[in-house]
Amino acid sequence: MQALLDLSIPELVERVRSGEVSAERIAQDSLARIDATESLGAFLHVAREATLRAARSIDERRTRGERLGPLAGVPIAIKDALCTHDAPTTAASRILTRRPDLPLDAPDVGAWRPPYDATVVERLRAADALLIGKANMDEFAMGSSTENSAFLPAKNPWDPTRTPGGSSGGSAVSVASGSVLGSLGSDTGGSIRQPAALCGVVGVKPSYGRVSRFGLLAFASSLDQVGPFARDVRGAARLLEVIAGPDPKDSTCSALPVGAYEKACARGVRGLRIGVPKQYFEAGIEPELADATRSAIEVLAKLGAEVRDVDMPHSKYGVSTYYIIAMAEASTNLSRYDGVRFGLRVDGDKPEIHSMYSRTRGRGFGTEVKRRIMLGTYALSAGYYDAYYSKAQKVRTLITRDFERAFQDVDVLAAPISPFPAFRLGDKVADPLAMYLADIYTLPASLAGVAGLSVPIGVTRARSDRPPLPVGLQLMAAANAEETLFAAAAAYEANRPVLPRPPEPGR
Amino acid sequence: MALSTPEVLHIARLANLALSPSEVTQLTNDLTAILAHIDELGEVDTSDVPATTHVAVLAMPLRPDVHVPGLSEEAATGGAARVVGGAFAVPRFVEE
Repeated sequence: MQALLDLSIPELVERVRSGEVSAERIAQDSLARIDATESLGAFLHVAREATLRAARSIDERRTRGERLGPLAGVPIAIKDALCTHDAPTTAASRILTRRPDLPLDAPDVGAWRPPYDATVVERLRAADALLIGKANMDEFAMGSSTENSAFLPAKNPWDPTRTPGGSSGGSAVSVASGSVLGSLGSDTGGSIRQPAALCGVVGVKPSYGRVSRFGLLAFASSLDQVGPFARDVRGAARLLEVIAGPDPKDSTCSALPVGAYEKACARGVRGLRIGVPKQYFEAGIEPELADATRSAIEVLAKLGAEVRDVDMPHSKYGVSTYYIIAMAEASTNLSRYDGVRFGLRVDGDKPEIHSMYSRTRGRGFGTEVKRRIMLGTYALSAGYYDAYYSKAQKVRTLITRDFERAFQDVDVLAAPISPFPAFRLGDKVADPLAMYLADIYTLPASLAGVAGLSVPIGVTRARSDRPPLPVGLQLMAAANAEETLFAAAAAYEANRPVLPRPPEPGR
Repeated sequence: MALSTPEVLHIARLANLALSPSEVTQLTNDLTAILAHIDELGEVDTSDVPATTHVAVLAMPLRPDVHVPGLSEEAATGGAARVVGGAFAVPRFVEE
């Protein structure tokens, strides 16, 4: 791996600002690393020329004596659910291409080009980041393994026969494989935290409303949040500081000022009250992962945190509650993909609009997206609304109350992210319910709208059936308490055992 | 509760999804299995619990009510499959 790409985000930015290294050199190294790790399927689009142009322009501005932004020369991958005006945006779906019969890199495929940038993309550009490519994902962020990408599955750098998790799998892989120093993903029910854990990187799901969603292709609007991945906690903190904050284009984005997340990383955990929800250690977690999680919490205790048990009795209903609410919202959000304003259009068997709608959507959406639209439509349909949708909204209130009660007594909750490490490609695709249950530990925080973070704690022991695989610790804090989250995660990170690196991928 | 094929076809019509016969079979089985799991919510007593209809965002923002330019006609229609005279062209949607 190239040494430049091994630096932390703050270190790299300092070298670019001082002129010690050029942004162009970093761009070249990053592009070379993307080529060397191409077999992992992290990217749907690599913006070679645009990145080199942007890098040269950053270097020129530095030569002229201009002060560069807080992400100067940092290569960043962007989940393909975020709009980029100068690069295709498909959310890994065929319905945002014109020619579903062609590969994504074919010149005539007609991948959608949004007429604007997402606000978070605009902010990264303004911070002088290098937006090097669009990261692979589960189609419309629906999945936990990146196998639902309409184009290709992403693979785990620790074992390419396994999934990187999802839905922001490409964003996690791009960082874990050393191609970029940071990336953006979106988290609706765990789609940043779970792939971060399975790939051994840091991932942050900010509080609901902390980051603008303007230009994020919507999945479930009461849950979606954009957040960063990075190799270390401080890098993730800097990224979040850049992208967070009020946006006149998103009325669900909080007007609260952005915290000093990077500074909070030096705060330490002395006196911090950490709650351990016992329900998160039930439900079939692998014993080795439960032990690793407890050892990580022990590290925080030795650093001066007060650890106590907390009770969150409604956690176990997270999966059922989430899937009703998320699918109901998805079924309405995805009604916009109808062949009229963007992407695919398939003519109907009759010259009539509903026939065109149905054929376009039948051809353009993949299996999991159809499954969720169908379930959501059912849950909202006459006769079933009260039994499913309305019931789930009430249980959501109880899950939120569990968090409110817990945060009266503790500052941070510490728990596992996933009941198991990275699973094999193909293992759960045929069983949608098994895939949904993989999200059991990340869904409650999403439903409550609180902040969550995944920090690597180590790897599993090598077994005859699997190599060492990364394990993450989930930390959760009340809405808008991201500073506390970064303080705890950075303190842990500075005192954890040294982590190994993933093996070099074959080509 | 097991879903029937006519129910699945009815939902597909509501959702504007053209499904193949094998997709109908698959979805009938999948939805039945998923809903059987979700029925666990029935065991939670929610008789005095209000529904969460939206997630409260602290400090809901306001912005000045000033005119800003929107997308140009070209940018707004640039992604459409069919455009006629600067407008999105669609098949007939009113029965004659």
